[in-house]
Amino acid sequence: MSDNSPANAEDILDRCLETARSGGDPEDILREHPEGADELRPLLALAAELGALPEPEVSVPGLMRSLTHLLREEPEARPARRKIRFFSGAVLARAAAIFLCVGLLGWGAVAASQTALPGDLLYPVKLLTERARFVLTIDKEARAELRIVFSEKRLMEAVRKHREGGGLDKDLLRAMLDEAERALDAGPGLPEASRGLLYSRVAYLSDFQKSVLEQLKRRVASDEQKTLAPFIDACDQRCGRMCEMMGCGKTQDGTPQCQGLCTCPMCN
Amino acid sequence: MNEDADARMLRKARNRDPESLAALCERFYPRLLKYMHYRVHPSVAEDLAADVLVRVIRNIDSQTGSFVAWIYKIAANVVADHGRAKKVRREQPMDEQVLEKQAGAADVATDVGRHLDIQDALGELTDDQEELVTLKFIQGLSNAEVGEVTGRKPEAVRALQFRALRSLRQILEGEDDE
Repeated sequence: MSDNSPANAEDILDRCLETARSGGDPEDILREHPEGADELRPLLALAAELGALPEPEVSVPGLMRSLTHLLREEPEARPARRKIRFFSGAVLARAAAIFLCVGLLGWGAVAASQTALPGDLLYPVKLLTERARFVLTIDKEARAELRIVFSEKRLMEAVRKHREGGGLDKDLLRAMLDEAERALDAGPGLPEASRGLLYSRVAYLSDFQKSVLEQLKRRVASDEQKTLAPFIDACDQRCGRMCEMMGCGKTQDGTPQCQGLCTCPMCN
Repeated sequence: MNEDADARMLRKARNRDPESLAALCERFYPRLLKYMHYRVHPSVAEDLAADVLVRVIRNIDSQTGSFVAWIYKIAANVVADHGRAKKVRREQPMDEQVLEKQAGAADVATDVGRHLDIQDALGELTDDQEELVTLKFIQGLSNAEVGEVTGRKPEAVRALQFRALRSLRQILEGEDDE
């Protein structure tokens, strides 16, 4: 290199790297500076090797483990949960039934482990772990169960947020409806028995959500009552739709067509 | 995803939209994991990458300027907070399974050996050099982005990358001689 100062070598190396990065041939630059080429070629080769180092395997369980660990250690703990008193025994029993079904498939622990609400710093982390769970799940029936859990969680978040003075969160309620609908997407691909079970669970979920929202409605101001009304209707309609999909439904006088044999909440 | 969509997602994330924040974290997690994988012992890379995500979520509303530079600054801070984890790296070599999985069948032994040598050699660079090599050559950041993350001017980045590559080469050649 005619002016083989360190600064010049640094500039030439950088030009070579930029040329390589943009798809050009760094040899074009080195030909202009043959005196430094012998020193720079091995550095360019090394830079290329560094760029080709293998990617670590992204482990969704690993991410979830780490996030769960961080969530547990989160110092900004939420205030202790106040007991939700407006649930009736029947509603709680249905909730327990839903969670039991879910728990049997192994998802209950996930639902119980995270308490962040929208507006909390860690709420996106919670959504991220949910996404990770979903990506991990291959079985169609389990994916549908997971959607049911998510729907349930969105309702609980909406109720808790309201109880803590955060107002009615329409986004959460929309997400609640959306997740329940998406749970049904798996239905056509399931064996008949599993499909029936899924419809039954979504029916109970919808009935439970309707009950909770109705009780919430009695405790809120009139403008919020108007907000809640379409969500209650949507739950009610879905519950009826599930009943029909299970081959049931009620006659005009309210008598169950199934003569009590159906397991849906409308007939029982 | 195009730039408009990226900008929209970032804007919503800054306003604490949970879905956008989660999507942002989802997208950057693999890059953060790779950054951590080559800066600390792989056994703690997942935890530290997740720690970066939590810090991003906590502070996203105060984020301005380049998001990429910002997130790598956080990652660098997490590494600094973690301490000198890289000192133990040579004693506990990285997960070879990952490397073997990624290497072609023909030259598995050669490739894996070389990758291990490079990873070990990275641990012998100075902190500044190691950070620059990781950001520029492993993560593929531009000089401007590296400068923003590390607080260096362009000429300082050029000088440091030259010294870092030369040092890395010397370390690797020393290993070859052994």
